[in-house]
Amino acid sequence: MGERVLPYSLLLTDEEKAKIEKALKEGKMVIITHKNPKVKIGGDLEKVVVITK
Amino acid sequence: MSMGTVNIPWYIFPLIKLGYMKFWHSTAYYIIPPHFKRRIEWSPADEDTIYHVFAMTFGKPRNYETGEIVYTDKVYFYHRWRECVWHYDPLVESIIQVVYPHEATATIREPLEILFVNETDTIVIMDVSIWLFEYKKDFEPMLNEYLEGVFNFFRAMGKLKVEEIEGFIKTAIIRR
Repeated sequence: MGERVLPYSLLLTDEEKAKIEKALKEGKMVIITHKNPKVKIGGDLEKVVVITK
Repeated sequence: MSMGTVNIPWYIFPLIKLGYMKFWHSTAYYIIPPHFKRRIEWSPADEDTIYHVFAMTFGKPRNYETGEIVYTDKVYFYHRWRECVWHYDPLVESIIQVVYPHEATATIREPLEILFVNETDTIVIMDVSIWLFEYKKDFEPMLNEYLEGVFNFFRAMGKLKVEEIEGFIKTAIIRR
């Protein structure tokens, strides 16, 4: 087992954690990023969930 | 994990100090499910802004369930941008353990294009930082003039004989 270095405990709410788990079960990619109105993420987004903090 | 220093390209310094460009980086976690293939685009959100991406750095790709480090050519991305051809980047050490240098221009009309592919049975998580300078579209003509000046200077120097270059440098030193 390796160390689990994930941002969850510090950054994510229970609601967001649930959203991630649901997305992964549905075969969707998850992008966790900072809230920044200056960046646009586009493309084939029907299988991508973006969580902004 | 990327090793080394993210260096600001030397020709950019004057543009930052004079206020034409502003530095920042965009950092994100990517959690890629098994047997996944999707293309995304990354760009400024408005027409008036241009991003000059000069580096990309990667955290260690990990198995999402266990935290174990994953280096594999079965998880990869293809990407391209205005100045770069479509190419393959697997999550192997020669890609992950370097500061990935870029000279990438990203606009809303010409975004960075990235195709994420995971051919394994494992969920993979990794963090990626995109290091960039932001400037306004209005500045692009002046930027191009500046870059042509840099090019022309070195082109002219390349045509000189060594003795002429030495003479040029000596003259410059004496004038100081």
